[in-house]
Amino acid sequence: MNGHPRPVRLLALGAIDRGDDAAGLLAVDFLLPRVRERCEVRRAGGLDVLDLVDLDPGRVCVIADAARGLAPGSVAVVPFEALLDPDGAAPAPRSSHELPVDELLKLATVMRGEPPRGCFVVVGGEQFSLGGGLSPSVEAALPEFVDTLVRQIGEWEACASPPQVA
Amino acid sequence: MHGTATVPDPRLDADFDVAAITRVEGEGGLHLRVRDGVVEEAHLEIFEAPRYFERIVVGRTPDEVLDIVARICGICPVAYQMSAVHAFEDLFGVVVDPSVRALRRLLYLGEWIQSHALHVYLLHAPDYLGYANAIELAVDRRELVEQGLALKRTGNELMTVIGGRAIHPLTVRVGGFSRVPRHAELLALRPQLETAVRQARSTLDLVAGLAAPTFEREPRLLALRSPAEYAINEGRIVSNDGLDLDQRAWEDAFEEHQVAWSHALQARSRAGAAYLLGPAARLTLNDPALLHPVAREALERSGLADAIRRNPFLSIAARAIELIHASAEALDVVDAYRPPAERLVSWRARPGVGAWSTEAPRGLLFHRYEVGEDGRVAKARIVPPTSQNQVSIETDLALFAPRVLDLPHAEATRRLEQLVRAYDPCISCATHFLDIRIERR
Repeated sequence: MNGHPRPVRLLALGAIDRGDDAAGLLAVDFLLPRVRERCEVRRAGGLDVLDLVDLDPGRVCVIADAARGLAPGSVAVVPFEALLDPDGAAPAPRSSHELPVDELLKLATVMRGEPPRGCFVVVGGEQFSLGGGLSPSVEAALPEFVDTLVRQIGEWEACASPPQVA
Repeated sequence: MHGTATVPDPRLDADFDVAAITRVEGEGGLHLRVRDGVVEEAHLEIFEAPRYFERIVVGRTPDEVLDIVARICGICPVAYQMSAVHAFEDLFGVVVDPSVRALRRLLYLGEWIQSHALHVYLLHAPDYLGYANAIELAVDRRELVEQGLALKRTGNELMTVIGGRAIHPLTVRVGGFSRVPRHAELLALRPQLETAVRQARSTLDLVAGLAAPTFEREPRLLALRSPAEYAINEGRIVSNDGLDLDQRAWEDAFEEHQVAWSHALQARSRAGAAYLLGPAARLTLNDPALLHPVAREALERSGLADAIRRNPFLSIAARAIELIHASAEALDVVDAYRPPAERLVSWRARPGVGAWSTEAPRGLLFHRYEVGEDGRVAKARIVPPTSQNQVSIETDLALFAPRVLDLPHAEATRRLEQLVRAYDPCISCATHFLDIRIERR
């Protein structure tokens, strides 16, 4: 547990150096002025199991990423609980590292004694390999992606309990 | 053709497929073609998309390359940074402060700790303890997963203090570091590292007692070896059959090939031979006297040194021994650390070819860069350990598979996946891997 005083952990995922649709990282640059005081921001190429296992009780996590399986430029919100629901219809995002996202959430649930709270905010990507930069469809969706992130941060912040400072 | 049906004994004439191998880093599958009871083909099918990093770095400056190649892997980014930074510094004639050298080794030890802890506890231990995955293991044996995560956390924090963050560190620069920690920052990690040494010893006690499948062969092993230390950043490329090569000269003895079933290139010796990298190779080829005394004593007490060389399923014990070594040596480096007098020496790019090999958690990682007159990369070659281990994995699968093909498909799959996981393949690095298919006729 890291006792971080801010109620929301914002994980921005992507590998912008490759010239792909690393929209999660780009979005953070736009939304940081609007959420700086409320969020602990982590930028990373991928989810680390400890990002969710070490989430203090009462804190929430919002993960910003680009995703396959959605129409390029469309924005979706997938709450963690939908991914933990064995009967749920939510598509489990695939992870190329460590554990698949749904398994990572289940492991965090077992280790924390309660499920981590929060959501994925994803934008459908078009370019996932070497490219010339952000694809037009994702660039056009960035304002909506950023607004959705800010809205979700606000909604999940309201669900957070007072932080426990170690 | 898939499924069972047309032959009475599936062991004699069958194709076996695992569409997506689980608990490995990245996406790949496994295909076995069995005819007359003989495994004719064992293919590790790496279908994760090619990632083109060798092209992305072209036209970039050396410092940009260090940031870019770190993105090849979320688990072993330091390995990529270390092979690259040493290649550039060797080419440019850069001599770094001794404390910078020590700090780079400490950063790498942090990566070994977090990577080995992840693999031992979350990816591989469930196979030996009879659990489908780490979640089931955590439900029944919570203390084990807590210990694994605590070790991983220690490695992550070491990397964060030195590199700025655990995934894709930021501070490594040609000539040194953009920022170096104060001694007090490292000393703050001392209690965690002391605990990590105890946890790592307990890890070896755990895995040494696990029932590993009996499967022995005599692989050609390859690793860096140094007369001065358990080799990580510096050493010569050596094998157990007499190869002794400068660490810049990997291409003199080895080459890469494209195969139809894999998005990753496969490496072999120029004579076409397979070879094996990683913890078992390092423990076999390095002088045991260079292991930290705590790790050396643990290895001797385990009595596993010889078996680790021959049985791939004991790679889990090799990782545990390296966990002890890395934690104990990290503690020593922290104690001895003095901030460098010069954290970043000035340098000037010069045209030419720089090449270097270092020891990633999964084994030897070779980088080669051609730098142009403009000081930018004109051509790059990156040969990750998984690309080099692929042929050995396929060879071992062909040897091991006949023992399990008469089992129900799910059980055969589990055992074959356990073998693949023993090599800790990182498919994302290699494409820079796993579904299993058995083809039955």
